[in-house]
Amino acid sequence: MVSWLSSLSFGSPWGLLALPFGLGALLFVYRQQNNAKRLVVPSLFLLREFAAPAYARRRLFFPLRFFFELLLLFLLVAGIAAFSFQGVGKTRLFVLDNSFSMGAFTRSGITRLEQAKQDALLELSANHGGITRVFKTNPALVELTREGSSSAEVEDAIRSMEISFSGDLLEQAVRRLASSLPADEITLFSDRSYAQVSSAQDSFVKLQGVATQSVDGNVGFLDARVSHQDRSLTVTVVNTNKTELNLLLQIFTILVEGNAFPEVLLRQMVVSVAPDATKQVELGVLPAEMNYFRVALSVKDDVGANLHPDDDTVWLALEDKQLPIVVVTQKSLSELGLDTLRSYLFERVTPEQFAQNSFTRAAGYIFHRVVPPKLPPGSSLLIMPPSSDILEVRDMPGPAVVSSWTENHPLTRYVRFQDLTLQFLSVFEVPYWAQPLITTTKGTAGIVGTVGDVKAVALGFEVFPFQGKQAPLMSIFTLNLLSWLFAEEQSVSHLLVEHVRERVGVNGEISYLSTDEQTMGLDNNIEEFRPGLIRVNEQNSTKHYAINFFSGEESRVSEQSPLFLDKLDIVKTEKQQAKTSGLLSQELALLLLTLVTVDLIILSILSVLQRLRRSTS
Amino acid sequence: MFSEIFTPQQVAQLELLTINTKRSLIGQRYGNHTSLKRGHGIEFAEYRRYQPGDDPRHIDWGVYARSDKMYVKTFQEEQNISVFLILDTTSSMFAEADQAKWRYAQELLLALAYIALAGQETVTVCIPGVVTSFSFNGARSVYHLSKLLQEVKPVQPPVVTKAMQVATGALKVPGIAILISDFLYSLDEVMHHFGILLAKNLQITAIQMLGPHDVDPLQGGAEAILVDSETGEEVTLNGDREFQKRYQLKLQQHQEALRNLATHRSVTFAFTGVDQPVITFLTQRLSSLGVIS
Repeated sequence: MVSWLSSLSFGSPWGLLALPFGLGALLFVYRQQNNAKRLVVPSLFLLREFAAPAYARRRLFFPLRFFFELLLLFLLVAGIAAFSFQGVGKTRLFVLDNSFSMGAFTRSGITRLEQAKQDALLELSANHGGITRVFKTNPALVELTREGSSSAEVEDAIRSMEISFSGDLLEQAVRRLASSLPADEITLFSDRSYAQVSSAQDSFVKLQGVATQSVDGNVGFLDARVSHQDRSLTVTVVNTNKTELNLLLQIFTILVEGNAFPEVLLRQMVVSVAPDATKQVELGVLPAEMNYFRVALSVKDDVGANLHPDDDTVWLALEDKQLPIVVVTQKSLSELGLDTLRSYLFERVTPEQFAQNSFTRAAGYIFHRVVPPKLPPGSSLLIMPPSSDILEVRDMPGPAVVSSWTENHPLTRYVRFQDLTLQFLSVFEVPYWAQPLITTTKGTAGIVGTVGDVKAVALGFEVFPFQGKQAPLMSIFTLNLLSWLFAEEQSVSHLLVEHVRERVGVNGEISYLSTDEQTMGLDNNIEEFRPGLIRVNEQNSTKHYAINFFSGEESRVSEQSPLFLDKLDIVKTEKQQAKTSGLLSQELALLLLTLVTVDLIILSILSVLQRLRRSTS
Repeated sequence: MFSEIFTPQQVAQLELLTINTKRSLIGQRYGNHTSLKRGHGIEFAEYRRYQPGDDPRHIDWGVYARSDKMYVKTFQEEQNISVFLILDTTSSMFAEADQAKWRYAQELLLALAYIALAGQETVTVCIPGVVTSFSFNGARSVYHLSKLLQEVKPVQPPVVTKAMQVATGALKVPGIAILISDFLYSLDEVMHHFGILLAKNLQITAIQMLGPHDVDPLQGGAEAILVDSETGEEVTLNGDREFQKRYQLKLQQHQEALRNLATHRSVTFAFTGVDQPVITFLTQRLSSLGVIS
């Protein structure tokens, strides 16, 4: 009995205050309206015989309706007070942070994610009953349970969780869950801590922090680039330890021979990295005849710590010598003067060809006097595009001169546009994703912006043909454009985890080259992309891609990153929760609606009957 | 209070009325009614043989001349009568919202008392709760009576019965008894009350007066909890048309039974509603019944 009572809970206990008021009001109404008028009469001598049946009927009827409305009142108050059965109706959302940093090892020798799983299982076993739904945050918020999952299934869901090679998405996950799902409690299992302790108090969002306090640090890769011109490899490493460390860097080449992929050490070197610093390391030129490489990092001399082993490897695939810059134009490359730019690889396609094949394997795109239906997944340069959904081009305004430009932008920093003669000038409405770059007396003629992860520049004047020294100012500007937009892409010989889907054909059969260091095999179990080498069998061709994950934030695992959940957000979500959550909320609302309807029907029938009776008497 | 109730014109009207008796009664002093007592009245009663001791002045010498026998003439003496007024002061008389019934009862009592007192009758009142038995003489004493009425508080039915018994027992001569009540109690009780008065050989007039609540207990309402003013008992009534019809029938039956009982016990029964003016009731209804002339 006591345990049953203790399982009752009220989300908004202040709502119970409505009970005495409601009860008082109900009794008052009954006294005033439903109770028959009391009349003192001289004598009941002649009236007694008429009283019995009416009185009996009233005795029967009064309590029925009264108790009916009393029930209605109790239900209403229960609804206002967000009544629920703890342990029976409590809905808890377990959100396990499986971002990259959760792969770091704790002092107890297990990863943070493993620790979080144990905490979650403990929490689950401590509270029997209720509904527990399990979510993982990365690479996107996904529920691992389903409606009606048993405890065993919930436990399995927790145990099955794996590290995702992606950045932290905890805030978004919490906000999304709190605003969209009815829940009594959201428990976060993460290595993060509240930015402000006060914001966590009295919140239904609880943070079950995984212990991260450690004097140990981490070492890892933050970037890797291979120049396609000379195949020189440059990597960036980070040391978050408090001491200077000697890191051993080893380059392995992977031989692709059928289904066996042996690995051979090419060379190794030791570099010294200052405490809590990053360092760019040039690892020399990669052999021309080899295309697939793995670069491994380890701490030499067993000094310092390496809490996260998953950021100690870089994968490289130089199968495509150089990704081309796709030039969508009706003209030829020579007409545009691009054939003279030998350091860039251009691939000319017509607008019709581009419409048929989106050319996703590209370092970037130049759209010359055409505009795509939507911006492609790589950086883009649009020269005098016609008006479209992407860009609204105003009518030709006639002669105009450049009035101003953004001097601190890398594109325009060294160019005096006043000395340029702009041909075929057109001006744009500046879209939301861009900012003005070059402004003329007739409007904005150049914009720059980012859409998602890619850069985009649109110019309302002609920069081609590239004339080199014959038009030095314009040539500098054009080279600036190509360098800023495409150079970075052309030096990368791998895909980042988050971009694999955009760049790899979805129709192909994808398999991982298993990471067994000596003899790698194929692994078809791809639920999420992770760093490594993949083989894509597409129709008659087979391609290999290298995938890496770099994140300075996630690799700095010794620093506990703060969790920013605004108090306002939590209050807001609490309100939503109070409104929608609770075992009885929806059922209660339905029941109340039904009962009110029944009561109203009874009331109207009674009033009609009463009116009839009065009129007849 | 009396002067507040009745206008001078109405008082003059009342002074023209007198209490009637159906038979001769013995009074306590000289008055306007022919008494059973032989004496020096105006109205010839009978001849009787002279007996020694008779006043020789009463010998009818004319008869002696014709018959050579001595007869004396006797006359009926004129005396006043005793008027016994009993007022029901149970709670039922006060139960009306505006006490219309009680005010009407007071007016009626004062009017009857004034008629009697103005006719030099001896008026004895029994107002349970205030005075059990108190006699008045002279018209001016009506003011005293009116003061007494202001002190009346509702009493329970047994108090009334007891007071009637005591007051009737205290009456020295038989006379006229006028009982003012709503008679909303059992016929047995009514019979008991009549019996008390008849035991003293009183000529009884029972005046039943009913108020609006007696005629329509729910006052047009559909449903009400009715509380008995005397016992506090509560009943809930559903005032539909059927009830109204049955109640009116019930009331009529009760009044008919009262009337039959009164006839059977030689009691004059009169009914009035509080909406009928007292003067009208006296001059028309009671007059037609021979209670007042």
